[in-house]
Amino acid sequence: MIRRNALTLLKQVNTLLDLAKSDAGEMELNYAQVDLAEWVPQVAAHFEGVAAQRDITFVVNRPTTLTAEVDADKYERVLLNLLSNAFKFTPDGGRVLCRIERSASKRALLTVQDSGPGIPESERVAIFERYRQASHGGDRSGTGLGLAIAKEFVELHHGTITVVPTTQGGSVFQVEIPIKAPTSAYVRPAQDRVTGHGQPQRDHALGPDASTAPISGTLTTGEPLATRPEVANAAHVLVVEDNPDMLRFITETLGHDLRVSTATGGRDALASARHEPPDLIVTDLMMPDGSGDDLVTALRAEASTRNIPVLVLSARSDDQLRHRLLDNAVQDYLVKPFSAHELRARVRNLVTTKRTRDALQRELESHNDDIAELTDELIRARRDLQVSHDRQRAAEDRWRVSQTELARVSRATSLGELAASIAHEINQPLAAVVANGQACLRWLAAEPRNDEEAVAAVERIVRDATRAGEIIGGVRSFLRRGPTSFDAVDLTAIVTEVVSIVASYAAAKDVALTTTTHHHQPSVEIAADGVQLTQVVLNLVMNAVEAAGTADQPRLVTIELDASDERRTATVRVSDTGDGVGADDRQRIFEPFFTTKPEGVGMGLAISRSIVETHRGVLRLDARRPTTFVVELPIDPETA
Amino acid sequence: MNGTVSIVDDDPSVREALNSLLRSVGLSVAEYANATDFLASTPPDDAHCIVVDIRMPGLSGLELQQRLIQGPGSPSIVFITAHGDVPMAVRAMKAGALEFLQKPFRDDDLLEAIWNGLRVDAERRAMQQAIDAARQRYELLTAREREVLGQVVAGALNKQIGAALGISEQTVKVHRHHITRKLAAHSVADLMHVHELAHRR
Repeated sequence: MIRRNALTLLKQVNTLLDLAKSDAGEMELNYAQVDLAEWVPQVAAHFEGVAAQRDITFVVNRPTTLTAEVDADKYERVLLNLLSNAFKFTPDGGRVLCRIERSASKRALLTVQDSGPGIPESERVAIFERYRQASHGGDRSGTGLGLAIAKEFVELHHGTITVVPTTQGGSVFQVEIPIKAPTSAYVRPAQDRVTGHGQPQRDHALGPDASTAPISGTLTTGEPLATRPEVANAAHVLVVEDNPDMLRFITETLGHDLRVSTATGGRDALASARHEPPDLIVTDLMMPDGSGDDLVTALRAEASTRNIPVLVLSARSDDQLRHRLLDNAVQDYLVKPFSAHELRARVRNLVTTKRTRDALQRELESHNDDIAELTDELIRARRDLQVSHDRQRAAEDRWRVSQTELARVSRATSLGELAASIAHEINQPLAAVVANGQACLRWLAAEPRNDEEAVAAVERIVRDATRAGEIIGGVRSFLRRGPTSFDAVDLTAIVTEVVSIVASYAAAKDVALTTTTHHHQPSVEIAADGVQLTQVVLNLVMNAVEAAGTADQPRLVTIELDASDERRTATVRVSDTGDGVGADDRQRIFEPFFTTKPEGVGMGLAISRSIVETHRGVLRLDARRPTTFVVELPIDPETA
Repeated sequence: MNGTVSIVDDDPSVREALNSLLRSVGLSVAEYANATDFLASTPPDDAHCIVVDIRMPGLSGLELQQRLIQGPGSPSIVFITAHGDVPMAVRAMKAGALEFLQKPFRDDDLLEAIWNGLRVDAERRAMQQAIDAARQRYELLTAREREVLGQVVAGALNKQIGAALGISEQTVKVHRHHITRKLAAHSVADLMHVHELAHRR
């Protein structure tokens, strides 16, 4: 029962795994040349037993040969699924037809027809959906995924799967796939497959429907006891008897078919039983070095001897003692004198019981192993499922990243707009360079020539040309930032570092820097690119210091750090006591080249926002407080 | 030619470069980082040309132009821009800009535009001075003298003026004598010129 339940669960996980893979676009077909005319009957043969059992007429029609390029595993899953459904829904004494044939336009047509209750027209589309099971007939053991999987597999083959009713009320499932794989696909030659083995290898241990599909593998059923080698050995009996005549009698009586060892006292017997636990101990009750009663008590006290059955021999017919012993510790009781036949019969009975119990115990243990193995497989499958989910999410993530990138590029920079911006920004220093050059020439040509003015002009040329270079550098880093590498970084440390960098600059501008932390922990660790985040925070704090520096008192920049475990978000807020961003500029503040600073290139916030967005975060101006910039970062961008 | 050039540009590099270039040819230069600062400044006494960047934070170059032409004594404007923006240039020129130069520009082009601007401004100033002088003189005239002057510049003879105003021809002659003296005129042509200037808007 446990095994069956575990199988069902495992089957469902495998099926889910396939669906998840298929969703993630990970599922690829391993095309091979397969002679379907030979192979379909081989797969169908698995159902002959069920057909015979349930008196179902099972007909398989095939052409002489029909070589196709298919993924044999997946095609087999489809076939098994259709056949197991057909058998599931066909009543005893009914009829199942399976036919493989070449249809028009180089396609292979697989037909599976049953004489079940049929599928109402309203459900003929829905049955191919996930977790859908026909609402009528059949048992409820299916996962509801079988046909969904079959459909996915068929569509991977660029084929179609359809269901139509038969005139007799059953269903006809038809799967049509191209005989040729797409030209881009690699197709293994025929000898790898088809010939030789009736059942192609499986990706997973289980077929689509364990109730009818053959199960390969890992489970062992109980074997008959007689075939076990250890059972062939004679059982081992330890006889404990202080009377030599009695001992000889017993030994001779039992020695024919049992291995007998002897002890003459309770202490020896205990030592021997510990050393080599026998299958049975036959002991006298009254002995010089301690009674058999004591021996039994000692045997039962130890784990290694606790389960050894004991047959007590007694000269006294003491019902009270016998009952006490039988109740507590011993398995049987013989009153002297007893016949050899009686002794043999009792001993054989006890030994057989013990050996059977041992065998059952081993069986149970081996079943435990099976269950453990199934559990392992379940865990592996779940992990694979997780991996597959991860891949799917990674695919989604890539999509989302490119969406973000697209948004970023298109927001700031439709190409012409960016080009115009660059032209404007480069033109400014370039115009200055040209004008300075011309002024320089004129100062030198003047009467008297003015070297001082000429030198000053040349110095400005150097400065402005450098600035033009910086703008180009800014553009370059905006358009092509280095790859972002995510590591565990401490946001608190980044803020501290930025404060130490900016401290002297802030002091020169007479601006006070304060840092506040709302989070209860001393560090706020997030997965991020430390260098890039430092750049962002530095940029915001520098801007804030410059803004605050133009204000009347007080001149203050506040950096607030907060982390919300519930939202898995870390927040950095940088505020200043300056005038704030003007209403007209708020829309444009993040645009490349937009700047309110005379010396600004206008790339700082644009680059910062781009970095934050790469981290799946948000960089924005606080809507209510135009002097506060807010960076919100997911603590783990992978799960954001 | 003497004159003052005001540079209105938010880019300090451009301001400094232009300042040096214009000073190297003997012009007086004033710098303004934005249009508001410029509007708040006192206009120079001599010929004045402003070099204005079109794109500036706050008041743009075109907005500055609109403000200036609404007020009296608008100086000559030369626009400079880092954008090659034709519609903007058309707007600026229609509104009376003298020149529209794209950065980076040749110094000769800029200087020619500026000199042209200064000349136009000097002429405008001269005209304005003449008008102001004419108005001052015209203010000296009595109401009756202004009536007589109006008849004179309309081409009426003394007898016709006397008949029109109901005074004697002799009285008209006395008025004309006073008018000629007050307006410092030597001929009827002078009288007509002063009258025209005094009535120019």
